[in-house]
Amino acid sequence: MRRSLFVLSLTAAASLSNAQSDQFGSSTPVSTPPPPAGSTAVAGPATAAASKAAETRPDTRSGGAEAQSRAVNVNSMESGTLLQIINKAFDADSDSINPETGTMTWKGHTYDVGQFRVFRGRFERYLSLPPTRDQDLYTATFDEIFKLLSTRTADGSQDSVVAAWKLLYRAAEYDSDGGNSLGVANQIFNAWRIRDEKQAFSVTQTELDRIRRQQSASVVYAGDALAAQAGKGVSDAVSSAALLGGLTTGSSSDSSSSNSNSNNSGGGGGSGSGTVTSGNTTATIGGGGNGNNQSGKGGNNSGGQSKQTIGSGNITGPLGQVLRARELAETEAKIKSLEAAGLLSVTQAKLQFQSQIMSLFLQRRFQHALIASSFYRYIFKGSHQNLEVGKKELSTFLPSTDLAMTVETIEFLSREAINDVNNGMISVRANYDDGRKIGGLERLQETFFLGEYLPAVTQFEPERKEALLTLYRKIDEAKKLADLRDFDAVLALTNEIGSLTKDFRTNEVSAAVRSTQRMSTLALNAAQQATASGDYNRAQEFIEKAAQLWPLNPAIKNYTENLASQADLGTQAAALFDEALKRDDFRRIYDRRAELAAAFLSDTTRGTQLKSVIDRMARVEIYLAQTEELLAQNNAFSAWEALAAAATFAPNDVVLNQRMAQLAPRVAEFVGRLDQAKRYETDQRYAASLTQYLAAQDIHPASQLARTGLTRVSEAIMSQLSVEIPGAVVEK
Amino acid sequence: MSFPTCPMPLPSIPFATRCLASAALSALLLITSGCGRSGEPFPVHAFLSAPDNLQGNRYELEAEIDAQLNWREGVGRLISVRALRGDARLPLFIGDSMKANLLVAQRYRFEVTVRKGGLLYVEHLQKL
Repeated sequence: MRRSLFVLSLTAAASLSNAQSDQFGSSTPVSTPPPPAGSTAVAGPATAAASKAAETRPDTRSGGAEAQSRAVNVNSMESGTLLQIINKAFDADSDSINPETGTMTWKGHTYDVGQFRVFRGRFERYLSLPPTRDQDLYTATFDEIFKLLSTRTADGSQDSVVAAWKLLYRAAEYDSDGGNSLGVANQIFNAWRIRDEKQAFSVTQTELDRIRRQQSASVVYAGDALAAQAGKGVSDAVSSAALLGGLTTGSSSDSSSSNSNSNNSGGGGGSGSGTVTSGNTTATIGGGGNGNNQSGKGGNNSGGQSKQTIGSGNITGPLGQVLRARELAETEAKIKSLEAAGLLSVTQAKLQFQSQIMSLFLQRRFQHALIASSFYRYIFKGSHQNLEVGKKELSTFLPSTDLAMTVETIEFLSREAINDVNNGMISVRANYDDGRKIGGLERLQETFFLGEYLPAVTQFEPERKEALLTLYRKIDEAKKLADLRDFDAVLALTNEIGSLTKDFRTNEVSAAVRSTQRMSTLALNAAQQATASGDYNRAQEFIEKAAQLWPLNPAIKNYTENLASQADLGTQAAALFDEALKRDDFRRIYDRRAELAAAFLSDTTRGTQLKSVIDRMARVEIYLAQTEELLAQNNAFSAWEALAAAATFAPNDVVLNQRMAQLAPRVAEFVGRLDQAKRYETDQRYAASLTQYLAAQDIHPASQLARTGLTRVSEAIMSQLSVEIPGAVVEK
Repeated sequence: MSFPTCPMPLPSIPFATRCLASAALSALLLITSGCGRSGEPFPVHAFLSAPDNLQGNRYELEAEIDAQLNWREGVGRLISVRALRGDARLPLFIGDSMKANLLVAQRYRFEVTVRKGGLLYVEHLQKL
């Protein structure tokens, strides 16, 4: 009963080991030596080995059927669930580009595209570059790979997988691949190598299992023999010793055996050793099965072959039984070590593969992610499809985080991205053909960020790219000019852009620019008013506002220049004005009245004096104009009188005196009489003055000077006579 | 200072008496010729050029009234006249005591005195 339990326990351990060793897909060959990268010559043996392995393992013969069953499975429950997820997750309106943070959001996940300026440079470079050379061959290679790996079109055989794997090396030679296919191929190669190592472990483990069974049987047999010779107590002692050696048997729970073990332990000699290696292994087992006649030799390795000898069979009695139990324990430890190593290698291969798939997906290498996922499906069996790495990153693409993340999830997301890119390019072409190039450019930019490495984007027509590049550069230039607020240049450029595409809102841009220009001009006007009123702080505020709105406003330049010259003129004008006023040189002041007025805006004293001078000279100018008219009528005396009237306002005016000097010969007698009359009047010799006025009036009867002089002097005479004549009425 | 006015016509007396009286008057006029009516024509140009030189003199001026320049009640009127010889306009003062009725364009013989300041003061006037 105990022996049967012990055998059952060993069988269970072996089953566990087989289950762990079968983590690779059962359709894969047992020992397929992976051919070296890029070498097609090695593919022959590899394929042959795969076929041989398939023949030796019954489970591998059903690989094609399993592939078909997986395909059915994909299209049944799992695919329906994922489609529902995709329908919820893939919101077509969720795509967005954030130029400030340099990120692009797709399906709720944010791609870090690096520094946006660099990424924009890549977009410009894409627009300016011609299509990649041999892109059609590259695309054909990928199509062939997809076809070989497709669960629908391919037969799922190892030959197809290997052929697809070889094509990866060919695809890696193209520039547009960026060496990613080589990375995928190497990853596949690594997975296959680990799988072969695991297979070698499995062979060794099978041999060790056989040795263990023999050792176990030997221990049991020797125990029975001892029991027969020494009685049941000895047998129990041996069993207890075996238990102390670490054996796990069905009798380990027997407490009575361990109690009797203490009486028979100790002593013993001899040794047994065993060496187990992979490759061609020969195990020689001596002893066991014959009781006291068992004999064996120690381990002897030669010529690269190992020979194991369990040499405790020649030792009889309890000591030999102890040694045999010890050897059994060592074999058990080796089996466990092999199991652990195999399990670690498989797990490591799976994690590396999943990491690469996830990395490709996050790098937007969606085609490579698809290919790697397909290979993963063929290399690892169905129970290992769940993702162990990248689940957190992948969950950002999905609305719910409690969903099972599998390699198929990446595959579906990659296909959705490719479909989005294809649809985006259709939209780009539709916009372009409709003359809406701005819309086409925007769609292309969004599509480029997602599908930078996809053929739909890289194979965009060069002439369309050139046209969009021209538009892109002009828009970028207009934006920079707008940032610099060079509105005149912006208006010119927007008109040019408007002629290139019909969906550019030229009118809106023009209206916005003109509105800003007008606001700047209004602020400048307010600044000028503030300056005129002497409120320089407020004027400065308005100037700053005007410059902020439109720094290149030409009126600002004129204003500042005038302001600077005005400050300089302020000091110069004051000296000029004072000096001219001192000399009664009103003409000089009058000629520069505008600039002096601007200079004396804040000088109330000089401003008042300037106004008086301007009034005087304005009258003089009127008289001078009147003189011209009178002279034209040949009325020299009236012209003289006009000049004489003007002389009362500006007696030292050069122009006036020149005119009078020019006219004097023609009116000399008249002027003499008036002058004489004036002098007599000044001397209060009114009668004589009256006579001269009458004489002047005789010369020019219409003379205003004579008439007023007569009136004035006659009144003076009457006043004098009123005093002299008694009884006269004195007028007041 | 007042000057004697012109004598009125004598009443009707016998011829011998009238002859004797005329002889006596002629003799008187000859005696008093330095201080009575001079009858000297007014030197217009001399007056216009240097009126101060004529101050105090008495002249006879035949002229046409041109315009009345000023009038003050109780004092007199200031008129301008145009000399019949010389065609120059001269200012004259006629006191209200003369009680004369003057109209423009009337011609008179004025006996004038050149007063201080060159004022021509009418002492007597006779319509021509």
